[in-house]
Amino acid sequence: MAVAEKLDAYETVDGLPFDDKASMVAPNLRRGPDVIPSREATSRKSSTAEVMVECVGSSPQSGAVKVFRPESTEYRVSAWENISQSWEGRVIYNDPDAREFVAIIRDLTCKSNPDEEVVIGHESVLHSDLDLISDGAVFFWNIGSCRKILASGKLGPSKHKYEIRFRRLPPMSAERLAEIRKQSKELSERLHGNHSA
Amino acid sequence: MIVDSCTAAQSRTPVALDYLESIGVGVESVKVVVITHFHDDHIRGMSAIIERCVNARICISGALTEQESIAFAMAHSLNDAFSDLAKPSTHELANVLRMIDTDGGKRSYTLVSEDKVLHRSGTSIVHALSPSDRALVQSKLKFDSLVSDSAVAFRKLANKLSPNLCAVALHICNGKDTILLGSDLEVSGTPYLGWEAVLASVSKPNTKAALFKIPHHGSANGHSDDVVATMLGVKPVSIITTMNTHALPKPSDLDRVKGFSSSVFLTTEPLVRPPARSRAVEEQLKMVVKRRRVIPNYIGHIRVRMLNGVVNVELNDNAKEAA
Repeated sequence: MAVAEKLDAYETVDGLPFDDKASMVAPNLRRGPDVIPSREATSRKSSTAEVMVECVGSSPQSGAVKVFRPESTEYRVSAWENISQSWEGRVIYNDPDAREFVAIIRDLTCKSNPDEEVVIGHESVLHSDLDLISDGAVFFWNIGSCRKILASGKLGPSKHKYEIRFRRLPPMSAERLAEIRKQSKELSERLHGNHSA
Repeated sequence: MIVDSCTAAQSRTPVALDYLESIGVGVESVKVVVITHFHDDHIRGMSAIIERCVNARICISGALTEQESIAFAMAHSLNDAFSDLAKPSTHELANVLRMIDTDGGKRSYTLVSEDKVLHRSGTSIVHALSPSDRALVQSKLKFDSLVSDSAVAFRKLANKLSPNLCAVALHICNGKDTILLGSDLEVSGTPYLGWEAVLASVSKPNTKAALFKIPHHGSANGHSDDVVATMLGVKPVSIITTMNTHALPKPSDLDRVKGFSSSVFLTTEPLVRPPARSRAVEEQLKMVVKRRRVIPNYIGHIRVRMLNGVVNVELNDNAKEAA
């Protein structure tokens, strides 16, 4: 029976067998070896590109599919317990000699509050973000409480903390830039060709 | 005539339109709109003005209509992944250019450069003193470099060109009274750019101003002794728009301006208390912030009316005369 016919019979994608669901997503995917049914999730260190699939139930055809993302290999030092105040800011003036910058911050926690202009020293910024401080740079600033993750895996006591993180926005693509250059050339030619003095 | 535009911090309505409405002048009466340059505090709300003032000729600095500056505006107004706080200047500029283009020549516009007459009515003439030809070329190179940077560096909001040598300074004369509007034009250190190019021009008008809008918020890099000596009348009235980000004008700047003026008027800002936050947040704030001020939702107004040399100045609560 074709997948489409089965879909009509089941009336929902969720009811379809696993192979049929997969074929809808990736029609050219060839079926590999059967997944060994198991109730225990097998975990292994893997690259972020790999995803492990566990079939819950007695066979791959029984229905539900659970997807496990690999554990992050990054060692986390602390975790936010509660963020009580957040701002989004943009740098309007950076003074590298004085090691401080001026920014306008917008209250994300209470949007009706007015914008504020603040002067922040470079020492308050993470070392890894210092190179990102420049006119026009955008950052997030959170204040709240966090807990250290101890070596045993347990959480330490709650402490107040702030964190300023600059956004790393990807550069424009070459294609987009080429398109902009083309559009701007055409617009400029029209403006200069038609301008009246 | 409307020269540049600004809005109160949390308002979208241009102050100029509010003012015209308050004095009973219809927007259809506006004959000229001048865009001197694209800094936030000079262009915010301009597209709304152009949309409403349908009979006005749009006079835009020639430095903003070259391919490179248009590409710069487009590259910094993508309206995609990240939120641009308060829609900075490049968004307005891109909108203005599209509005002029969309009308396909129905809107009259002038690409402004030095020594162009922007408007003439009876004995009244509005004369552009800048940007110079070389400033236009220089700005093209700078904008092109900034656009290229967009493709290799982490994206951020638009940078301003510094120094500002492409702003449009205006000389306005009605046959008896003369005003000099300095915009944000700066001195360059060379004879072909900035105020030096204005002074070197042999075709600029020669009447001297009794009212002077001080360039670049009173900063030292906007001041020229030669401009004061040759383009201003004796002891003119001077107006300064403050720029708190850079603490302009500095006390020394104010003293300098007071030295050649009969009186100096400044826009000021009222002290606004910041909103109350939890103690824990305030403690963390104090640890991080060296100085802090709330951006108020008020604009300082200085209204000057001049006739036959007699000057009448009115201030709102957010403007003052320098002591």
